[in-house]
Formats: sequence, structure tokens, C-alpha cells
Amino acid sequence: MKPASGSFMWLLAHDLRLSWRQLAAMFAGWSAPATIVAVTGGITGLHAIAWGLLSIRAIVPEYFTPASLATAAIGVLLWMIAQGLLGGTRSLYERSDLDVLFASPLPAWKAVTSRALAITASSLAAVAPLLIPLANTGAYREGAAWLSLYPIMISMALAGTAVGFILAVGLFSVIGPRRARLVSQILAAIIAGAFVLGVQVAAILPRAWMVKVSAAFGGVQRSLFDEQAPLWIAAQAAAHGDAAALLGFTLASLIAFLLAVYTLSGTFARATLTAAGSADAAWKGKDRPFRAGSHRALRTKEFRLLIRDHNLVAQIGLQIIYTLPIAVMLLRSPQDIPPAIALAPLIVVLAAQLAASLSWITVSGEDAPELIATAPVQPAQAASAKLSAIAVPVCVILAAPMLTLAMISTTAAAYTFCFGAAAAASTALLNLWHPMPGNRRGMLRRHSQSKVMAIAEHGLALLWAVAIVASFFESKVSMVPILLVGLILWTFRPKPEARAKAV
Amino acid sequence: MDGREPVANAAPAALQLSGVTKTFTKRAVDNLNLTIQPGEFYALLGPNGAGKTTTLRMIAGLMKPDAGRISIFGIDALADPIAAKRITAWLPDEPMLYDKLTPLEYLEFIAGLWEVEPALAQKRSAELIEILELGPHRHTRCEGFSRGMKQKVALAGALVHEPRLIMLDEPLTGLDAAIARQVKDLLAARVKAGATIILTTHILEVAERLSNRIGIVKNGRLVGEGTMDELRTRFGGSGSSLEDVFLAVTANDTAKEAA
Repeated sequence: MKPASGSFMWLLAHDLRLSWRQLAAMFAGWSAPATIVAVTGGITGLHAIAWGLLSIRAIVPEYFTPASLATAAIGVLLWMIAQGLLGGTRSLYERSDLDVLFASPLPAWKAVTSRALAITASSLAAVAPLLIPLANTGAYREGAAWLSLYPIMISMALAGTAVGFILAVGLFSVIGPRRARLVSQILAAIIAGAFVLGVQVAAILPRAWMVKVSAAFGGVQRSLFDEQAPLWIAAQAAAHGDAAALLGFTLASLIAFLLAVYTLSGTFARATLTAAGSADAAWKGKDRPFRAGSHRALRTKEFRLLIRDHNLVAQIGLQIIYTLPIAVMLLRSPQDIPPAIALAPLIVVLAAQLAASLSWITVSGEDAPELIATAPVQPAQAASAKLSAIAVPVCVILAAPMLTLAMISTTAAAYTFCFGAAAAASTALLNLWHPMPGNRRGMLRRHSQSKVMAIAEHGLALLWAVAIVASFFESKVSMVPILLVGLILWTFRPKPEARAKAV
Repeated sequence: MDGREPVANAAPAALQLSGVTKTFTKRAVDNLNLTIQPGEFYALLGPNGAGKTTTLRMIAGLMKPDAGRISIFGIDALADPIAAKRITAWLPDEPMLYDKLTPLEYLEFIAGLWEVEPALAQKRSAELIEILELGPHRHTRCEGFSRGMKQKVALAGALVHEPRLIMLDEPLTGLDAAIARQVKDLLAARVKAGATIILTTHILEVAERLSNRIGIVKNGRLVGEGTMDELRTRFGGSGSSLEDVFLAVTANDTAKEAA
């Protein structure tokens, strides 16, 4: 039965259909049997991992204390808040069909609530593949109480969207449309990574400081991780199937969602209209002589676009910030890991990831691909100019850690330079061979275009990291990851028919 | 003579399409033969989905035809696309710009791509910016520009390397009267200076006023071609407008198909 036109359910079906198509687009180009095999294999694999986790839990129960469960629940909730903030901000600026909806006789709350529920569904879709296998396996092995993970997951997504929405609209109102997008992206990344960052900061603090911090915040820590703490309710409900806790958490999340979305719907609708035409047009250039050459023109254009893209600069900055504490942790490791061995794989991974991000921006995120295609420039020449444009920022960003490494060991630095260059080249080539056209603003979301590419990209980075560590020990094993890199690149090489398509 | 009579020329045609065919799920361009002489202003008209944009995209080198030949000033555009691209410009209906570049930086970029000598490119850019009244905005990033402003910047980009063949796909869509006038004047001046223009438009008044010859395509086939007078004689009557002719040609074709 179809919902009545103009009803809330009708609108929700419309929004969910759009979200579903976006999700299904990840398998675009795959045949139906290949999609079925991949999805079935993925589901089976995830259930096997969940089964393994529960088995480990039976062997070493001390790692699965209520506090660790509560910590995991906080991590999931923070991540969902970040998704709500990003989704809300995206709806504000990209608007797409919201203009049509707000111009229609439908009340604003219907459109906003429906869009907020679509964001909730997206957050759920990202977490569900990890939590549903756990719920199913747990229910099979230990009882139906584990099935309470289903309503908890939905409640967390609702609560996360509510808080994210409040933050998105709040930022827009307080700091204005021009800055809100950038700030909300940074804030979302910090919220999503807060847990990891917090653990890392704690790990790098000197021991004396840690004692002081524990003394100052011990009360807060106890109230967060105590079995009776409010944040523990979700984990308690999940672990014991506590019906009262489950009902309380679900109701609280639902009320928070409805209150936030209904109260803010008018402000949200006005904000989407304000967001239109709020481009950052304040920058002014100056007269300077033109320079010659198509290669130089392409490189200069890419430089200018990269430097002026504040979102990109912020995202890359965060990518680096996240890895810095890992380096410090490894250097302070009690296992006596030599500093060079600690730093080198990190630099290699960072080089691979930076090259992947920047090559996606310059190749797939090209704003005017047809302009380049109609210019008298060979495709290979254009590609080489673009890749040379990204080499410079990668080198500049990695100069400081490379210098640090060179001061520790010049040999290690030389090895790292070679492996880092190879790692960067391999991920850049992957993006060059398989462009996935998209808006450059969606750089961080590019992996939702193709999970296969995401796995290949991360796989290459990790393999190069393993290879450099093995090579430090002068082990022949280092050839194995390098051969695997070769195999991945060979698998992803451009097919002759794809080359023939390019004019 | 008002300068819009067909151009007679012994030199190689500015553009020659021979049996050009392109099929997607259905046939978009069907055995199209078309010849445009140097210095002509040619308007390619047709209903939505007739194959106009696909034709221009094949000439611009953005897609390969399934069959047929494309020759631009004697250069085989399929065998030597780079040589053909050197003397052509393509302006689609949606301006191809970079939001974070200023108009002047954009023109420098285009001139670089087409390997125009820097001093010459700078001079031409200054002229185009003045003609299109972009002076006050030449150092402002394009991201805040209106559609009309963006279209003017894109047009300046298409002209900065002084192409011999200019392809324009719906260049006046969404422009206000003042900007549309500037664009039309600039195009007319380019033809006067010797450039060849092929343009698609749904604004029939533009085709009637600016072009030497008009081609009408439907279902990927050329169903009518000639000067305005020739089209009137064949499909309308004295005093009939291009709109009358256009409707008559496309209706005739529909009738033929039905038969």
C-alpha cells in the first residue's frame, strides 16, 4: 500500500529511496551475481568475526568489563553525533530538493523530520554491518537479550542525529553561513575522533601529569564508567537485556530527536535559504604576468585550487594530527622499539594516504573535466601534470617527520623516502586508473563511492608499511608485501577497453 | 549584402561531417552529413533530444562517433584530435569554471593549456575582460558570480586562444537581456573577424538574427538546411518566421515517419 501523497510517510519514503540509491550506487557497474556474492560473503565474514569476538570474550573476560562496553557505546554515540552534524550541515548547503519541498505547501517540519530520519538511516547503515552480526551471534550463543542491540542502535542513531542537528543549526546561527561549513567539518572530525584522540593524548602525557589528571578528573571518570552511570544504560541494556533500561534509553532518544527536529525545523528551513549564495567571495587577487606552457598551467591551477580549499586543508590537517600521537606512543613504547622503526612505517602510510586523497581531488574532483578533455593536451600529459602537482604538497607535509628521521638515521630516512615515494605513487596510480567523479567537497566521503577501492587503497598503504619494517630487518619477507602490492596494481590496471574509450 | 549570406570558399571546409553516427541506448546521431564553410555562423536547431549536443560533443573530441568522419579545416579530428583541438573551442550550456580561480587566473590557465604566448594571452585577456565588462571582477573568485557572469568568463576563456572554429551549446540560456546582447555582439564580431561558429539554441530569434545558415535536426538526422530565405521557400512561405519554418520542418518529418 502506498502512503498518501503529501503525507509524512510519503515524504519519508522519498528520502529513504534517495538514500538507498546512494548506497546501491557503491555497487554500480557490478553484475547482479557479483553483488550477491560480495554481499553474502561480507555478511558471512562479519558474522564470523563477531563469533570470534564472543569466543575471545569467553577466554579473556577481563577485556570485556562493563567499563569497556560503556566506552565502546560512547565511541559509537560520538561517531553518530558526528554523522548527524555532517548530515545536517550537508543538507543545509547542498539543499538539492529541499528548495522544492520548502516551496511546496507541505509544512517545514515534515520535510526537515523526514530528512533527519534519512540521516539517521545513513548513520545506522554505517554501524549496522558491525553491530548486527554481534547481536545475531550473541542471541544464538547466549540468549535473546543480545537482540536488544537492535533498538539500542536505532536509539543511538536518533540521539546522535538530534545532537548533530542542534550543533549544525547552532553553528550556522552563531558563526554564520560562510564559516559554519568548515567549522562543522572540523568539529565533526574532532567529535568522531575524540575517543581515539583522548586515548592517544592520555598515552603521550608524562606519568607525573597523568597522576595529576587522574586526581582532578577521577570523579568524572568514575561517574562515566560506573555501572549506574547514565551513559552505561545503553551498554547495560545490551549486555543484560534489561527491559527497563532499554525502554528508558529508547524513549529518551526518541523524545530528544522529535524535540530537536520539530523545534528547529523553522530555523533549519530559513538557514537553507540563507546558505544559498553565501560563497566565500571575499578573496581578491592581483595583476601578475601570465606564464607559459600547458604543463605549468595545469600544475599552477591544481596548486591554487588545493591551497584555496579550506575544507581540504582542514581535513588533511586532521589526518596528520590523528597520526602524530601514534608516533609519540611508539617512540615512548616500553618495548624498546627503535625510533626509526616506529617512525618509518607511519611516514610511509601517511605518504600513501595523502597521495590518495590529493590524487582523488585532482583527478576525480576535477571541476571542469570537459575543459581539459577539449584542450590540445594528451591525457597522459594532463595526468602527469596533475600528479606532479600533488607530489609537492606531499613532500612539504612530510618534510618535518623525514628530517626528524634523518637526524636519527640517514639510512632509515633514505629507505623511508624510497618506500614512501613508491607508496604514494601506487595509491595515486590507483586513483588515476579508476577515477570516481565527485564533488571535491566530498573528499572524505569518497570511499562510499566504492568500498573495493577503499580496501585496495588502505591495503596498499599497509603493505608498504609492512614492507619497510621487514626491510629494516633485512628480511626476505619484505618481498612478500611488495609482490602483493604488484598483484593489487596488476588487478586494478586500466583495461584496454577503458583506455580505448578515452578520446 | 548584410554579411549573413552563405560563404563561398574554395579552401577546406571549416567543418565537415560525413556519415557521422552515434548510438547510446537508441540512435542519437544518424548518418549525419554537414558542411560549414570558413567564416560562417551556423545555427543547429532541433527539438530536445534531437542529437545537437551529441553532435557538438563529437566535434569537440569529447566522444568518438561509432561511424563517420569529422574534418576541421582539413584536419581529420578522429586521427589527429590534438591538432583539431588546437584550433577549436567548445562552450557548453553549463559554464566549465573553477570557483576558486579569478577570471584572470582562469584565462591564464586556458591560454596555458592552448600554449598561447604569455604576453599575447595577457593582451587578449585584457581586451576580452573589457569587452565583456568583467573589469571590476577580474580579481574576484568566480564562486560568488551569477550564472550570467560565469557564462561571460567561460566565453572569454573560449575566445582567448582565438579559435578558428567555435562551438557553442545554448550559450544564451539563462542570461539577462543585457548580458545576452554583449555575448551576441561579441560573437558577431568574431565571425566578422573570420572565425566560424556553430551554435545550438532554442531561442529561434538568435538563430534568425545571427546565422548565415541554419540546420534543423530531428532524431539525429538533418531534416532541413539552408539560409533563412531558402528555408522559407521550401518549408514556409514569404513572411513566415523561423518558428513557423521550424514547426513545419519538424512536423513534416513526423508526418513522413508516420507514413
